[in-house]
Amino acid sequence: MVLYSYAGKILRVNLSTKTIKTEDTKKDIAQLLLGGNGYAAKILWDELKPGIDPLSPENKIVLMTGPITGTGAPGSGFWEACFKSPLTGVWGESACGGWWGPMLKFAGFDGIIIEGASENPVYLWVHDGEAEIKPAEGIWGQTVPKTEEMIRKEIGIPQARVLSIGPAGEKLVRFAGIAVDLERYAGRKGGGALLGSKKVKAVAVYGEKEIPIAKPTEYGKALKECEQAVYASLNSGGGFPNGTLGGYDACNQFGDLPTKYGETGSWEAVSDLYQNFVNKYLVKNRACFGCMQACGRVSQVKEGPFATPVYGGPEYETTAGFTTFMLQKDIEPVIKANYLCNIYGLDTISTSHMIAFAMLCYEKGLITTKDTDGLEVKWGDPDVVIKLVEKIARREGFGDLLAEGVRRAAEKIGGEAPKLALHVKGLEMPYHDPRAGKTQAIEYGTSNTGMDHFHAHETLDVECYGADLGLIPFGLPDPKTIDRFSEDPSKASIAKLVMDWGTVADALVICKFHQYVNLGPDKYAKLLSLATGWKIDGWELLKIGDRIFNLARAFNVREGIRRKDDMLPPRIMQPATTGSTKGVGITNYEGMLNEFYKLEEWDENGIPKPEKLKRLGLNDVANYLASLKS
Amino acid sequence: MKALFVDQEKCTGCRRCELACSFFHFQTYSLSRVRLHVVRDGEIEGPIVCVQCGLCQYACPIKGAIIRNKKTGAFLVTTKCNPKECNGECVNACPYGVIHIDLKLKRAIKCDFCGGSPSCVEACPWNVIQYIDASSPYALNNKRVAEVRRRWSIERAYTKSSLEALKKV
Ligand code: SF4
Ligand code: SF4
Ligand code: SF4
Repeated sequence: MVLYSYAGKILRVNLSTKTIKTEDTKKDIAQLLLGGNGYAAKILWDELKPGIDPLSPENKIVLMTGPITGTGAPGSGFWEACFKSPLTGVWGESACGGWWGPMLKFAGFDGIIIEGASENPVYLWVHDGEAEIKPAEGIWGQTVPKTEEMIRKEIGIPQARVLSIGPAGEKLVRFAGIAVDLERYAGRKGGGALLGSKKVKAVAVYGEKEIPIAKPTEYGKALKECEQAVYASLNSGGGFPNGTLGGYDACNQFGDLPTKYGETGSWEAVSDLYQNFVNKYLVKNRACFGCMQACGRVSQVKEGPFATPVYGGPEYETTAGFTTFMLQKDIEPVIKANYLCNIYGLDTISTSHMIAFAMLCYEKGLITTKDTDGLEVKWGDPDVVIKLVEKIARREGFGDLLAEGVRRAAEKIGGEAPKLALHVKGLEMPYHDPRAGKTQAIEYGTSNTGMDHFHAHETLDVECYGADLGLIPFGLPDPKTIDRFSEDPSKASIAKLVMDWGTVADALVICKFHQYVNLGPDKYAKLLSLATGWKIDGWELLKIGDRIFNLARAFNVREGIRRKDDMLPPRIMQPATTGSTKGVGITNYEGMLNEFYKLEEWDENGIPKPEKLKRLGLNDVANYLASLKS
Repeated sequence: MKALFVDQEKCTGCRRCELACSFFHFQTYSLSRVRLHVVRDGEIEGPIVCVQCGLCQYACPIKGAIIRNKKTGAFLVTTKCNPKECNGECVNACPYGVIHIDLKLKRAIKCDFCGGSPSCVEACPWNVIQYIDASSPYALNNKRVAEVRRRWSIERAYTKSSLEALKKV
């Protein structure tokens, strides 16, 4: 039986026993949870024992594509990594673009489950429906670009796509990421550390299979409609033709650019930074597979102390982290620090967060030069920044402490440090300020991955920047009518809708930036239906989002997550001190949260109610949670 | 007579052109059953298209297997093509690696200008590929076209080895 638009097979690689098995992609799971985070959540719910150490061989990592990956649908170049996170100890999920995902499907697989651990460094070579575990002794220790180069050379296919970790992943830096195609990253939550603990240096894929479409003629027509919609949006200023960094100035104006470790949300000193970047450092735009927007910014610093080669340059988040968050005002150190993070395999968000945190602790006297290997960790010193990136990547001296992530590092530093640390569930805060749009607070609190701006979704974009994400037919109020500062409990319904839509995007496995260009649930539902031959409409898609969000929540509840873990760090609730959000704090977080719980049908401890889970078709999950004592 | 021209500097590497090519001819998505190739060398990338030079026809030992369409000028592979009876001369002859033996069709496939309205041209979001009069000033003056072809001709085929495929037919 053909499972249209899926590859139909999932690869299971056990590194402890060195066995490779191929399983069928199961139609019932696919229809319930699509692919990506949904399919992976089912695997990890069924197969992971609660309470395991994320860096032990018992943990698994699932690399998944989705039903429309590689089909020419706009934004279909993504893939997802799902695992129990070494950084947070809860549900870990990271989405990534590039070309690796589609190539995995062309190689004949919807996903790869990696389990166990190898004693010696290895890499996986997946091609044309087969896979091999190959020794990687000679490659272990190399940077990301060198790794890709060596592997392509060894397998002899220049068009092979390589996913890999750098030295930071090998050293188990808890926020080490997974790199693909030299410049795209599944950056957050420590997938790189997890691969490092399994001694997997890389996964190379290549294949020449094709992806069958159930109703090709109609699919072709629907795709044309989608393309027209995207062009219409891009022509009227929507989407990301200027890359994510194109939003930097707007974020600053809206008070959405966390500054001085979250003390405030804007900083005048960087007002010409974006223009300067475009004028002097931007080389060209690059797209992921199948993308019409091309948000990637290839950049270079040609000379001077911060010189870099030409590479896939800094995104908004990276730039915010290495500028305002640590009071550093120039773009050159950002490009350099980003380059170093890329080649060592570090998440730029958590890395810059840790450096800013060190600066705050240093200012407050919680750490001194005795702790920092003699470095004066003063706000905004670019040389210190570069040195700390290097130290973190190698877990060298002070870097070893920072490599543990903010929750663990703050506990070790002690004093008031844990109270200052900005994280939820152990995930460091990214660079959108919830004081600028209060719905964001709910997402930061309840996201299954922790304090995350894009899983499930960035609700600030609706409130501040007027994006409707194609959700108006599904009940979203016109964004122009939403008061971004209101903390009315009704904000919870906006959060719920947007987050369900964000969750299902990671199951379709599409780039979420395509929700900003007139491609709402109805459009993707149509593409999905015609590609698979199933009948799914926009409402059903959102329901799948709800199902996956709650399955991942159940995973977290099983790991001990309760209401107390949904609380926000105090520093980000305090009134901002400058800019358009001056004096604005967060005062009714729990009011909004209570309403969100009600909409989700979670009990007062934050546990999804069995009735709800049963209604979503998750009976075994419902039974398990019902048996828990709160 | 029109031909495909490439302004490589605008290419973002999205590969929508290849997807459109495979979908137009086979109604599936593939990066192998395609008649043009997007290749990348460091930070430079771009599509390699068929220039309809006809070397494939010249090299082909089977009469009538590759013919020229009078209207579009495209060289077309006919059902007379039978890779069992040749040594893949066309594949070897193509300087750009844009003619392949298709394993399912068991024939060579190459660019046919989609009968006169090229799908790749329509699919490209950045107008990198243009279908314009071969003698138009734009085409004649575009030095980049020459440059990109020189660069990319080395990389040849996208598929692992078209000749290897030939053995399997
Ligand atoms: S919008 Fe950006 S991240 Fe998304 S697919 Fe396009 S290039 Fe990739
Ligand atoms: S003109 Fe048609 S056949 Fe030729 S490369 Fe473009 S899409 Fe393919
Ligand atoms: S569609 Fe255009 S931009 Fe995309 S790879 Fe092809 S030529 Fe380049």
